[in-house]
Amino acid sequence: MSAILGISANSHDAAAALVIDGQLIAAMQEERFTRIKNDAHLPLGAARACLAMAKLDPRALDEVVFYENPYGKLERVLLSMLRTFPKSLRQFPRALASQLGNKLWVLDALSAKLGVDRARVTFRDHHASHAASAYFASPFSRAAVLTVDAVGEETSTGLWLGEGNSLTCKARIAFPHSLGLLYSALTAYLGFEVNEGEYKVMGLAAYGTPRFRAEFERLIQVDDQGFTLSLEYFDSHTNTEVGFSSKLEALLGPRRMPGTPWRLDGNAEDARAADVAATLQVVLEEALLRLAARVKALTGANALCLAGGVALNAVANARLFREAGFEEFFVQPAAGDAGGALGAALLASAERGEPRGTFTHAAWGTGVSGDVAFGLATALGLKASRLESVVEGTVERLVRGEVLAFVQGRFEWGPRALGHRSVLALPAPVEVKERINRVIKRREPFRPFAPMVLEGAAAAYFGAFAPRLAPFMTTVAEVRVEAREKLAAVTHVDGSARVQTVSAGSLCGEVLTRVGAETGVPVLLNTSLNGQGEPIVATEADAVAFFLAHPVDALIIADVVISR
Amino acid sequence: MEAPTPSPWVRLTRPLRWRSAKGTARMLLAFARAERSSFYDMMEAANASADLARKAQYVAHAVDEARHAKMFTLRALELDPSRATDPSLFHADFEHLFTVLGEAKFIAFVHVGERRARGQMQLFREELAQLEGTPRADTKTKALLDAVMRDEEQHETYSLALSQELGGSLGSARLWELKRGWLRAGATLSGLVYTALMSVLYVALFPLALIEKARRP
Repeated sequence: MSAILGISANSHDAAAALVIDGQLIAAMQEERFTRIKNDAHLPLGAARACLAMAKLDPRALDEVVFYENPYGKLERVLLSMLRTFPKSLRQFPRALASQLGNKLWVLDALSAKLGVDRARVTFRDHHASHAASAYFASPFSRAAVLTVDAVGEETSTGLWLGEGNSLTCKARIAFPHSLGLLYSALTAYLGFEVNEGEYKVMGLAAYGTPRFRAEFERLIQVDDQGFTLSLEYFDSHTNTEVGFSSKLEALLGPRRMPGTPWRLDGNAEDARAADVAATLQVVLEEALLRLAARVKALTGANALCLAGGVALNAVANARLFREAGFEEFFVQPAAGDAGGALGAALLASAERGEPRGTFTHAAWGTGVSGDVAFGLATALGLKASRLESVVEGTVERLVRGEVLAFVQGRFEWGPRALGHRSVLALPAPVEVKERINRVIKRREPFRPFAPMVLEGAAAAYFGAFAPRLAPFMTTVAEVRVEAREKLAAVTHVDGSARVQTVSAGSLCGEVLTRVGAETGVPVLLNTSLNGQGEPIVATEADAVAFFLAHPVDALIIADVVISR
Repeated sequence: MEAPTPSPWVRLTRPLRWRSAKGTARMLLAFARAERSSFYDMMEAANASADLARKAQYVAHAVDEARHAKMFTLRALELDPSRATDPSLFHADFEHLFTVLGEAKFIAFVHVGERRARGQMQLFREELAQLEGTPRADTKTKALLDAVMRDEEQHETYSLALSQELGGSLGSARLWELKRGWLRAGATLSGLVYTALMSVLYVALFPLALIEKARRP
């Protein structure tokens, strides 16, 4: 028997994952406990919640595995500073304070704060953790694995072979050449927050045309080996806030200032921003296709697993599925740094020869109680009642056109709400989207909402999509032309949708079946249950706080409905 | 409940607050950060407390704090739109005060903090009232302070009652706050010394930088 706790922290999106005898027991991001979005601090709340789910004392853990090598990271940071001397003067004290202040001692801190013997606290490499998070969570016994993110210790891109219980690195691309850093720099250039606004860039891309191809050829050279960045346009060593240099603005025009309202209905500057985003998207996809071709040649595998922050780009994933030439494709929902915790634990487990489990759902967080929700709502003087049937109570409100906060079971692993902590509504008319975007979520008007569809009915509404990705909302599909009116609130401007399929046997599946019977369309709009700038809710208290602060029509939490 | 008297320092800094829109925006953003920090602490309390009545009080308080943070931020951005580009605009400290202090001391500390904040806001409101009819009048900020102060008074009342119920000591909370202030001042000072030392070290690394650049241009 082995009990292994994986930990990721100190970059962004800290998380913990518990694996016992090779089987995943719990996996959670720290942000759900602190309520700080993408919280990077040591995930003690998440770790303790994982252990509590298994009723396990920390001293019973066989290993606590950190997802990267803190010494290797310090070495890379120091060498980067030296290479960019003297431009890194301002960055040096801050970077060193961060490394020497806590990052270097992370293994000791984990030992002390969790009460685990220091000898049992180990680490694995950053990209090995990413690769393991995809491969060991996949159902494949042999697969090519691509890990693509900003940077780990020194590696930014890894090409791996996963076979049985082993992972072998076949090739790697080193920092500062990094698709993640390219995407981050352009995210900042477009006025979004780095490590948070990347998916907004992906949504914005649909509004533009990729007319900056020539300019991007100067930024990044893609070839059969992968890609090379022209470093003079980037400034990741000396300016971690934006990551691009003045030369990028000279090449693409002035940056878009953060916080400026978006006007995509004729404003020339915003149209230019959309065109930059569209070009970035196409260039990223082409670089990924080259990397996929190379990893296929290196491994000869028929299945592909993808991990790292770039793997959260659902549009690129869809193109890889269509064009990379693999028969099978898998991306687990927390493909970014949070997933490193899962990968580190699964890798350590595989090294011990434990049997592999299969990642069939994403509900690895803590649960909710109807009794607590009812008591809390009553104490606050809210209108609360118990439902005889959660399915009927939910469907009745949805078909009336209500927008519902829906909280059921354990919360999801990763950045997507998949029906356990969701805002649900009918997928049409388009005004639903406007209401949720502007009034409830208070986010940019161009951002799309995702459809949740009954698995068996998906083909009637959507074109081809990667079947192993759709349950986790890590891909997109084309909405069939004849279905677009029925799905007006969940069809993006380019006719695509970030589709999520749901099996008929689950609670959401039952809701969709009944919605289909009532309206003829077994599809719902599904977006994450969180306010602007906040993480997705976890507990009963978080959900009630959301309900008090946002004008949804009702909150259904376990078997309790709280209405206005 | 009568508002407490703010510290002399708060009175002394009056000219900086109302001299320009940017100064007012800076002050409002400091309030927003404090309210956001308080939101994190109140949500931690709400999630940790097993007592449903107290859980409800903490949730209601947290929702107020989040709303105040948004209101202060929006008004600050109206006064100084250039602040929208500040990457730390929505950042705030989270000190896990409920876990660190325990419930009784935590709620006593909440009372002390709310009372002090209301005292400050009361003073600022009076200062704004004095500016009415002058070119520096700011009726929107005054109305904002009025709205927030009503909530703060309610927070002050319930936290005092709860503190007494749980046996929290206001004196002990004030002492802890003083100690925290002392440690923060020390951290700021040592940060400055550290930055100076690291800058000197950086210059001393010049030969190593040359070697590294030669090794891997």
